[in-house]
Parts: sequence; C-alpha cells; structure tokens
Amino acid sequence: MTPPDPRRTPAPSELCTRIVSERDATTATLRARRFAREIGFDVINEMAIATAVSELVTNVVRYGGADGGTATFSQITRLGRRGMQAVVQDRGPGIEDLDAAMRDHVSSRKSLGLGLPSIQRMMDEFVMVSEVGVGTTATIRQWLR
Amino acid sequence: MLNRLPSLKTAPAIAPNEPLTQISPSNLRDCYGLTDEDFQLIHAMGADAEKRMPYYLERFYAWVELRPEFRTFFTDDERLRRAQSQQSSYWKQFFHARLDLAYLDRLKILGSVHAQIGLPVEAYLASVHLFLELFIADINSGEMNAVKHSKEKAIIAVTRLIHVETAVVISTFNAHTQEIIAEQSSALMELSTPVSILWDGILMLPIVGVVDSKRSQDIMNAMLRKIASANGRVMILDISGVNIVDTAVANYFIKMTKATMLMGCHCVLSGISPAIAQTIVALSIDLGEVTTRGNLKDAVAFAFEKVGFAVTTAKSRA
Repeated sequence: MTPPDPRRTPAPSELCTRIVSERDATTATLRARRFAREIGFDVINEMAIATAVSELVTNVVRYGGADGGTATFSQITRLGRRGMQAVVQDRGPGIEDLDAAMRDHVSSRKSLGLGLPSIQRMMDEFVMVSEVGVGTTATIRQWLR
Repeated sequence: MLNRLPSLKTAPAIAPNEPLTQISPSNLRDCYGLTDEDFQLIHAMGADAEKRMPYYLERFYAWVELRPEFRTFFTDDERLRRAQSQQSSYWKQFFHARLDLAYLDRLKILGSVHAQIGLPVEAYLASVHLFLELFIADINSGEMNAVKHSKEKAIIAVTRLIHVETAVVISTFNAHTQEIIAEQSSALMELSTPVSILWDGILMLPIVGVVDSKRSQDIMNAMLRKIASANGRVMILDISGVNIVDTAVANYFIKMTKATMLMGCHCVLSGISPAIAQTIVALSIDLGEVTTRGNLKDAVAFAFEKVGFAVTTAKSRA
C-alpha cells in the first residue's frame, strides 16, 4: 500500500467520532486519551479522561439507540487555564431518573452501576442532560493543573 | 454549569431519502445535481471527444512519465498499451453519459483495481483532474463542436459527472482500506489470547490492547479451557498492556477471576500500573477477593508460594 505521508496531519482543535458499534467506542476512547496527552495532561489524568469517555461511549453503544451518537473532544480555555472538554451525545430513549443513575450501584442492566458516579469523582466538571424520547448529552471537563 | 448545550432537536434542513454513502444512480444524481440536460450535453460531446482521445492520452502519458508513482505500473510496452486501451474505453463510457447500475459497477471495479495495485489515491485524483482540464480546454476552444453554443453548461455538466466518478471510485478505495483494517484487527484479536504454562499448575495470560465484550469472552474461554486441560491451580492475568480500565473492563476481570475460582484455580491480576490503580480507586470498584500484584515478578512469586514451590538461588541450595 501507499507509504505513510511524512507530513503529519496537524492535531485538530476539535475531534468528533461517530459512535455506533463497540469498535467505535474503543476508537473514541483511544482518541480521547491521545487528545488529552496532546493537550498536556499527565498519564493519571489522561487515563481518567479516557476512562470517563469510555464510560459515556459504552453507554451510547448500550442504550443510545440504533442511530448511536457522537463524541466530540475539544481544547478549551477559561481564565487563562487550559483544559479538555468531551461532549457525548445520543438520540436514544433518554434516562428517566438521572438522579438515580448518578448514584452508585444503580444499573438498569447487569453492570456494576458505577460508571456515571465515577465520572463525577474523576472529572472537574460533569453535566448530564437527558430528555425522555429525545436523547442524552453528557459534557465533561478537566482542567490542567 | 454549562450555559449552552448543543440542542438535541435540530434536524437537517432537507430530509434525504438515502444516506450519502448509498452509491445508487438516483442518489448520485441528487447529490451532484445532474440534470437531463447535463447528460444530453455530455452525450453530445462523445463524438468529438473520441476523435480527440489519442491527443488526450498522449498528454496524459507525457504527464505520467514525469511521475514516479506510475512508473512501476507501466514497466513494459504491453502493459502500457493495455492501460491505454482500457482508459480509452473508460472515457468512451463516460461520454455515453448513462448513470446506471452497469456504469457504477464499472467504476467500482476501476476503484478496487486501483486500490489493489496500490496506486495512491492522490495519483488517481490528479489523473482525473488532468482529463477534466483537457476537456474544459477543448470545450472553451470550440474543439467540442457539438456544444460550442453552450460552453458554460457543458463545463458544469462534465464537472458534475467527473465528481460522481471520483465519488464512486474513492468510496471503493475507502471500502477496500476498511476491509484491510478489519482483516488486520481480527487477525490481531485471534493472536491475542495465548495462555501459557509457566510451571506445573501455574498458567499465565498477558492481555494487551483493548478489552471489549467479544475479546473478554475469548479470553475467558481460552483461560477456562487451559485451566481444565493443564490442571491449573494459579492463573496469572497480566494487564500491564491494557489500554483503559473502565467499569465495563473491570467487570470483565471480576467475572474472569470468579470463573477461574469456580474451577478451583486461583487468579492473580498483575501489572496494575499507578495510573490504573488510581482509576480503579476513582471508579470505586470493589475487586473483593481478587488478588492483585503490581508487577509480574511478584505475581509469579505469589503463584509459586500458592502451589508450594520455593525459588532459591543455586548457591544457597549448596
């Protein structure tokens, strides 16, 4: 096949990944990790961000409906601080009781039920908006220290 | 809190009948705005273009000779002649201007042939562009006699159909690349559950890369089969090569260790890096009875102890 282009593709300021299959979820997770690394996060935070994204995109594959969703990563700044934002969105059935889903060991299926509460523990900011019949949007932010 | 979240309710302005990835005559006509007049104009140019074909090919091969990318494909005169005759019939087909399934099939074959011989996609695009330039020059100069009164429309028509061509060919290129990626990753997956016997009763499985539901099932099967056949008493699961441990992956590991324990085999998770240890804490996953060790060496020491072996240096034995 063609040899790889020596001119590296420049890192985008925003990166969107479509999530339909489990493989897409893996791709998004690995991209989140690389994106975080390129922004300058240390390995611990890089892992935390990738793990949080992994939780969210796994949810999209499991519950997000047939159309799946998207994961969008971007570099952000606020008051001179740099950080990373990930927005994971789907047009699935939505979550009826968000408060319950945010509590430990609450799962609609046979999983650990720790995903969403863990994101809250790991990320600086985590906002989840869900409307039944419309979809779910989760936004996480982590700031460089 | 976020002030503004992307709206979930926005719908595209026009609801298309088919996805863009659908390579069908009707969809391509829609997407590239081809009208009946376009087809008539292209068709009308056919006779003039055929007369000019030797000139186009001459120009094209003069260009090709300067490009190292193509050199390997035209090593002898026979191959060159064959390529030229194929190209000439390909453009003849183009000026037939009939966007039907048979035509699309020909384009798909063209695309996959190009992809299979490893012609860079840039080389294909530049070639098509060269022909487009030649056609436009001939339309403008009046060489395309049949369309001399509607030059502008003719140029638009040719450009639209050329875009359809490239869309189909590139889509085939892309499908070909995706196939290769899928083949390689499945080959990698199959390679990746090597359970080895480390010592009598001690088994080891290094897990590298991504753990998804299918992979975890493969790992589980490989582990349990080996425990049964090799009478395993301790299974070391080294996860130092695992990319990400989230709650789903942790859940897989917990299930794996439970299953091995049911078979009377102790399971040790080794290779827990500081970052993964922190993540597991943050996830507040209760690993419960799962034995964990930071590195493989400690896990092996634990395993030896468990099966009743002691490792001593040769000197101290004497």
